[in-house]
Amino acid sequence: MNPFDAIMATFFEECGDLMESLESGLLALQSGDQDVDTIDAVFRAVHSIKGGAGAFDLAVLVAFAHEFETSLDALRSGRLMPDPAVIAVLLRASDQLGDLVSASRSAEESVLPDTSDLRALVSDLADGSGTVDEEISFAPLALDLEFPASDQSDDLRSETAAASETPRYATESCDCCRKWILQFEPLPDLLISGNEPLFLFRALEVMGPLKVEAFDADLPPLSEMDPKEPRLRWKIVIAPSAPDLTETEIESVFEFAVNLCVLDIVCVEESAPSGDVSAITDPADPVAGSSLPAPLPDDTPRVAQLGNEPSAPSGRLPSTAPRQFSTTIRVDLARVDRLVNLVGELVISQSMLAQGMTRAGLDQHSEAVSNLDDLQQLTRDMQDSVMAIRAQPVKSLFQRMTRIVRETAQATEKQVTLETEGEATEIDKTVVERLADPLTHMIRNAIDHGLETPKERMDAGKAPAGILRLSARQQSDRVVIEISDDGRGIDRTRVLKRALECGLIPEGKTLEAAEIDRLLFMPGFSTSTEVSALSGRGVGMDVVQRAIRDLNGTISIASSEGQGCKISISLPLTLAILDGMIVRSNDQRMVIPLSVIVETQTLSTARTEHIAGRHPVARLHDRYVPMIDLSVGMGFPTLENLTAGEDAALLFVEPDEGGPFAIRVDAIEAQRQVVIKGLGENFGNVPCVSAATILGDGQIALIVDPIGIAASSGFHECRPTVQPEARVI
Amino acid sequence: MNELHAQQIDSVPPPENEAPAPSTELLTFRCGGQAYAVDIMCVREIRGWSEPTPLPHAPPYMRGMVNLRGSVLPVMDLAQRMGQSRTEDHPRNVIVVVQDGTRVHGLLVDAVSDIVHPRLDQLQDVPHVANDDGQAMAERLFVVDDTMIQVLATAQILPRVDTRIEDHIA
Repeated sequence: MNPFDAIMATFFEECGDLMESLESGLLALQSGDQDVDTIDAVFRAVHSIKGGAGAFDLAVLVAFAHEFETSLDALRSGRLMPDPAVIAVLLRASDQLGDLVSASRSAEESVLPDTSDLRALVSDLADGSGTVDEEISFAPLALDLEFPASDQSDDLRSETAAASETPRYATESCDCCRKWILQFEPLPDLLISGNEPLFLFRALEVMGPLKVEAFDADLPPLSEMDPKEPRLRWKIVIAPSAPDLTETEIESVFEFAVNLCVLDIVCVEESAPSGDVSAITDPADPVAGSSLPAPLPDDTPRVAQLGNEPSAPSGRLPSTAPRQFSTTIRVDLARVDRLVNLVGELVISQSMLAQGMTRAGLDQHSEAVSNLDDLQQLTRDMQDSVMAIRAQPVKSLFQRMTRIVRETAQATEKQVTLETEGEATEIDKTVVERLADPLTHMIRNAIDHGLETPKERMDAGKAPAGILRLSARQQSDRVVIEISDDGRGIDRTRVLKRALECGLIPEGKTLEAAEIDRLLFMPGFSTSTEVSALSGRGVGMDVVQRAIRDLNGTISIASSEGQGCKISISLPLTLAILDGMIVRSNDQRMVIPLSVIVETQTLSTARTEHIAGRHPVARLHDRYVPMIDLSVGMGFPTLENLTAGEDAALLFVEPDEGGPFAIRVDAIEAQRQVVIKGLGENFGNVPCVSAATILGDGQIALIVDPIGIAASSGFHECRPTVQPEARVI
Repeated sequence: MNELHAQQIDSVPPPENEAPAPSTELLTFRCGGQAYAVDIMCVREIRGWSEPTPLPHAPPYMRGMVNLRGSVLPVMDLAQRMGQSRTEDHPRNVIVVVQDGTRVHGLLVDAVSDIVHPRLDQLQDVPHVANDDGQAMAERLFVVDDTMIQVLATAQILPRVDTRIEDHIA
């Protein structure tokens, strides 16, 4: 990757964060929080995207962000009230901005979206923006830096020039008490190699508002000036918008110019930002406030912002708690994965060591054994910590869904209120990412099929706006995510009829309500007669189910007619570790996930029978369930003698799909945590196997997928046997 | 790269006493009484035999998987893959770990023989013998000490895998 691409990649990464804070800010505004901080955060996000986009010549993005920014500026200055209609336009604009960012990221051509509604927002207002964005040229020298795009330069200049005087700058900068001062002196070769100070400054502007000063003191007389040689020196003051801005980040801007200029970076802690304070408490402020048509309740929040200054008196609002220096770092995911793998290795070699020591016949009370216990404890702690690194709150995922809800509601002309709960619940990053598609699908389904139109709802005596709830919570070692709506629920007669039409169930079969609901997950099932743009494309809930199952998760559905429908997804906290029972069958060791096992019995005490003389069944409490030998179920060639060894046992498993059944194994060896090794692209989808693991002796054991076994053994009539996999090998 | 070789051979007449002709580096090994070779750049490592864990519902030539320093390595019996009889388990057997793109596979062979540097013009095209699979797996031939060595096309030997389910989600 060349350095420019690397910077660009960083920019887009930051864009992701910025879009997130933009959206959460707008949502906060929507929910009635009209804090100046929030509005500022929203403005800053758009502004930073625009600034960065300018540096990379992403014209469309800049143009759109500029329009957006203009509206937000009106909001910020209080000329525009954040009423629901305005927020709706702004939310839509943020969606469009997100689209533009991703289009630019993938280097697609994009056209400027329609900004008429954004413009309409500000056009009503008397164009007073000129008074805010005063044109002040650079103070020390009347030298225009030749910013080509005027909108860009207006902004940059007004911000830089207004640094010490206008309240606007104060609101932007005073939440950071640190400043970076850069001395930048280009060497003669700088311009020759194609570097342009302007672009460097623009790249810097992404980090926060700039104050740029040019030194002209040592300029030679015009007659002696060589136009090819840069003569100016600059002093740049950055008030970083992110408090954790580091010197390296700043240096990275000058990466190409590093040998072509003299650069001096100093960080200054502003303990007594007297200038800013005076600017804010300036008597001009109330005047400005009163001159605005609809002033925000801006006196208190501004004082609150002041509270962020270390020297300021106490009495801050709780909402503006002082910003801590962020202690997070960006780490390449590959590095974390490597760490996860290494810890997995460690767990394996440690259990190998334990086995070795047992074999060596060491005394249980010997020093070595007790040291090993300590080691075990440490590795377990380490494992937990490493997993915690990969954990991520589901907030970002839920936030993405707000957009889906918005769009779907608009397309279906329904009113939907999204309620979210448990956004702080953490789950493995991979899981979060891979949940986005299934979740999108389910939400679209819920709105498209589940919720009624406002009129239908009124007729049914419900509020016109449907409620969609998205909740996440941790339940022991699993995370449960629920999507529920208060719509019409599943129309079971229709589902049954459709299933008959599709030939998914035999004629004349009666199904329990839960079984009918489960039909939705069958491949090829879709009740919608016409294919709508949103859902009902034939890829339906079965794909969702497969995706969830690929994450070792389970999915279930509950519905009550007229009351709504709830889909629950239960997912493991991590994709790396699994609690399993290690069993032996046909001289192969395999792992059965503990989460599906409901009971174990020794074969000698279990009650087994044969139906029709050949289908074995076993008794679980008061009912008989099908039984299968593990090796047979896995499709391994079996040794004929199924004579029960002494250790032979039955594991009763109940996957969340289909009924319980018994798995016969030759022996149960142990119950322990195993490190999951995905089969991944080397194998493709292997039926009856969800993954593999490495046991203490270095041997590989398969992790059994009970649903796959049940399906390929034909235990569940309701479910067709596993789809003929396209496994041409 | 192989196509490149082919072009070069087609278009450039065999050099006569010229500067060293372009050559390639191949790892040769024996398997089921035949000699094979793969481009050494595809070979990640060579490791000793260890008992593979069988995979369910897999074709017979898929012997299973072994632990390659903490990752799961699929192992196939090259002889069986090439249509010969199953390689007998023997502690002297070796697993040649080959890489094709992001996929890594182990080839179970009888023994590794040598590393050779044939000139590109020594590599012959595979004569067109039949329309079966076996032909596509060998992409070139060459002769060393009167023995025919088949240069295998790594991408062809590795089994195809079906697409992941996520691709189908709209």
